[in-house]
Amino acid sequence: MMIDRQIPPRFKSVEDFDMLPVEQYTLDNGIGVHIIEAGSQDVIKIDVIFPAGAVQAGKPLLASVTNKALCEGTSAFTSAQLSEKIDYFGAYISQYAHYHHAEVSLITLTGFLSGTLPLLEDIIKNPIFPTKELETILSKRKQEFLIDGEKVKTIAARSLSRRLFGDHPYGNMLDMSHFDGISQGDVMAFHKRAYTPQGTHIIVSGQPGADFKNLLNRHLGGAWGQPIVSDEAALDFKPTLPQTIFIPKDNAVQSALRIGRPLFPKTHPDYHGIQVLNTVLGGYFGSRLMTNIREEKGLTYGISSFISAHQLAGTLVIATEVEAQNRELAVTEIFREMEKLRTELISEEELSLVKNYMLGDVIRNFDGPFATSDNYKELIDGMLDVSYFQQRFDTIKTISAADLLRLANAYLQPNDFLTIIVGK
Amino acid sequence: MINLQKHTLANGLRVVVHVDKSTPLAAINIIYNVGAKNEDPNRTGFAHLFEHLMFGGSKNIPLYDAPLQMVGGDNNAWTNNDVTNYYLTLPAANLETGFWLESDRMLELAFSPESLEVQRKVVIEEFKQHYLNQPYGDIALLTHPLAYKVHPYQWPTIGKDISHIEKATLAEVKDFFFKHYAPNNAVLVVSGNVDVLEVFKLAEKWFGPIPSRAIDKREIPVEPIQTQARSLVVERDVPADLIHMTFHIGTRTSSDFYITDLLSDVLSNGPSSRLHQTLVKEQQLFSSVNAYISGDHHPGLMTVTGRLLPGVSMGNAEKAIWSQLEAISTKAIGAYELQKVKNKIESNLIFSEINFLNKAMNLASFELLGDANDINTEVDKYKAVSANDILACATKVFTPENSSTLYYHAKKQ
Repeated sequence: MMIDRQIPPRFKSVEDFDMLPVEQYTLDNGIGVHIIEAGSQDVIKIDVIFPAGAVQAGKPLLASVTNKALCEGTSAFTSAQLSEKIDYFGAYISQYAHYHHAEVSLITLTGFLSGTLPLLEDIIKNPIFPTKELETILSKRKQEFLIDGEKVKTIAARSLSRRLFGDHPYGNMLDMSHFDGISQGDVMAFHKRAYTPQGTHIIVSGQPGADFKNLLNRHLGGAWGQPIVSDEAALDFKPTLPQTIFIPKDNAVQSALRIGRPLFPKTHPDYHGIQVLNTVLGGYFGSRLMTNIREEKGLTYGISSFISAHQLAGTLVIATEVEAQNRELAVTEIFREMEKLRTELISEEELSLVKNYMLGDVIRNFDGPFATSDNYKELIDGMLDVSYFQQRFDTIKTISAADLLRLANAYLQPNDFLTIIVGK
Repeated sequence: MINLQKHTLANGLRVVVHVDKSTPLAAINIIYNVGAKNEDPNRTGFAHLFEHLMFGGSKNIPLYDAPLQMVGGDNNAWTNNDVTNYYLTLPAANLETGFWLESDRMLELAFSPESLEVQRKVVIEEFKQHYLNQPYGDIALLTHPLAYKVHPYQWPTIGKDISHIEKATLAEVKDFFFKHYAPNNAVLVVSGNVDVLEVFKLAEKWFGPIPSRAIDKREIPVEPIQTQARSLVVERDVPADLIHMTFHIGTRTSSDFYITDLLSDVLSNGPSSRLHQTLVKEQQLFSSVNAYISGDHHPGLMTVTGRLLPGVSMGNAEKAIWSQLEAISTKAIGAYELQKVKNKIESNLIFSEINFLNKAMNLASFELLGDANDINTEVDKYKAVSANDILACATKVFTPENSSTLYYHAKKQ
């Protein structure tokens, strides 16, 4: 039997959004716990999320260095002893500091939880921040900062955030002088006031095993630290827009482009809609920008647009590295693609493709306990309700070409954008 | 334990199915037994360029990506020295769309001249972005030809030189396709929320009619045993000095692969590993240090590399690395340290069994090398390694005459 390979098989669109159930309760000290129990392997991940980000720290590097240095020695164990123990259990402890939060995460085989959880407790509650370890972290950070500063894309990204947010922590104002301005006393004081139960959440995913709740309460349910709710910097910087900045970089064989604008936080009514518009513009492999700049003109290996949104504000940014002699063409074409979205209705075919792709992506993003917990963090970081995910799903399902045209006219006006070009 | 079922079609295509009902999705992974080592030395980078062309439309389907996105799917691909691997995920109900797309491009590409012209430019920009316009980006371009004098591993996957990509012709593209892209030179793995018999039926329907092809059996030269230490000194516009050492080791399928892998783990897997604790933490010579093995089909490399802190001389940095390599080559590691690296391997294997796409990729690699079932005996092979095995391996690998060292100096400002 010959098959007709020109006819695509029939397919089904994604109709429903099913998220794994999340059980919520509080520990004795008020820490909010969110449990996503599922998975075929006896593995558990515990994310402890503290209000200990760059915004609370109020000083560049302080949040990230404090977060990183938690594992570098406690009143009971040296840094080397902690590493030995964690590695022996085949477990991982990872840390990350954001703008409004800092995380400490443990991934471990469930069977070893009674051995690994006390270590997590120890590094959270009793770090001693030895000066030698702080120096090691700072010298490594300094070198990475310098190396990244040689990359055209980093130069462009740093310049863009500074010019959009000024000296607010969102502006990421970091320079060499800051590496000498972090003392052991700063780190200890920040830890004491920010790594406490107050305002802290724990997300548990995977198979927690029997007796988990007692175990968690025993290790992280008591009182520690001295919480001080800090005054958070107000965001009152007004960027100069539109503006085009050229930053010369010798020997650059490609030019980096960052074209961006300030945007609203996730609580804004247009937030889910502009995600769809962004996907059409540059948010997936078949986007308008990829098709034009890469697949038709071959000017770049990749181009994308993306939205990042925090509690006070966000950004919409188009980023690429292009053949140097054609960078003007690339800039012109990027603005031309925005103009097309402002003036022409997107076809039904393209809209349904983007919708189906995004709905598939929702399924991928919530596939299993670990992917779900990674996305669930967004709710805590953005102070959002769990209905946020259903709203996003519904917006993707129902948004129309006319809605996208309206959003493009509201948010893709060239006068709102800052253009940064870095190259020879 | 990963469940799996296998079936080989009449045209030689090996099909492996792994059922994981915990996901609503499915993955299709196709690995082709062709990589950079199969390239003509005057057309290096071709296997990777070809990977790009596989997205430029096939005989009956003008676009690859759009029809997949239309059913909620996503995809990507990668190329290395030995293989080219294509994968997609989609809602399990739409599995057949993946079969339709993948079988048509195995059947025959569209071979459009426009696609070649554009992808040639895209790959040249990729070359610039990753290898020329990044601090330390050219390390692979320098270290491969230092370690390999005759074997094609002497060029990295991206190719030796941009000019090779510039000169590729459509005739060469066609030739490459029919010599390497064939059911009898590939493994198809389907994983996720699928039914085994349904997958075998779909495989027969869509891939069954594709003819077997005569695969190019070009003789690949064997790298002679290195007998003298090699070195290369370069100076670049970067902020910090770096040292990069490679040592010849065995193949992925040799029995000492597991020993060599554990050796590299003792040196550098995790924050408690020897190189990190001694060179980064205690002696504060490096900002970061790393040791890893390549896992290539032909004899590969162990790499030991580190970035120096300001004020540390290259000579002292090198001496400090060698003193660690000598220590592990003269005294067997203790029972505790051996158990630690084995525990880590075991938990990493369990972590790698969480994701259905990850499992599909791993099964494809194992089946291509021999048998997908080997995935379930990996852990036993690691458990069987003794401290004396590791000692013997280190003694053999870490000798000056087996080493190639790149001294990558930061230009003085």
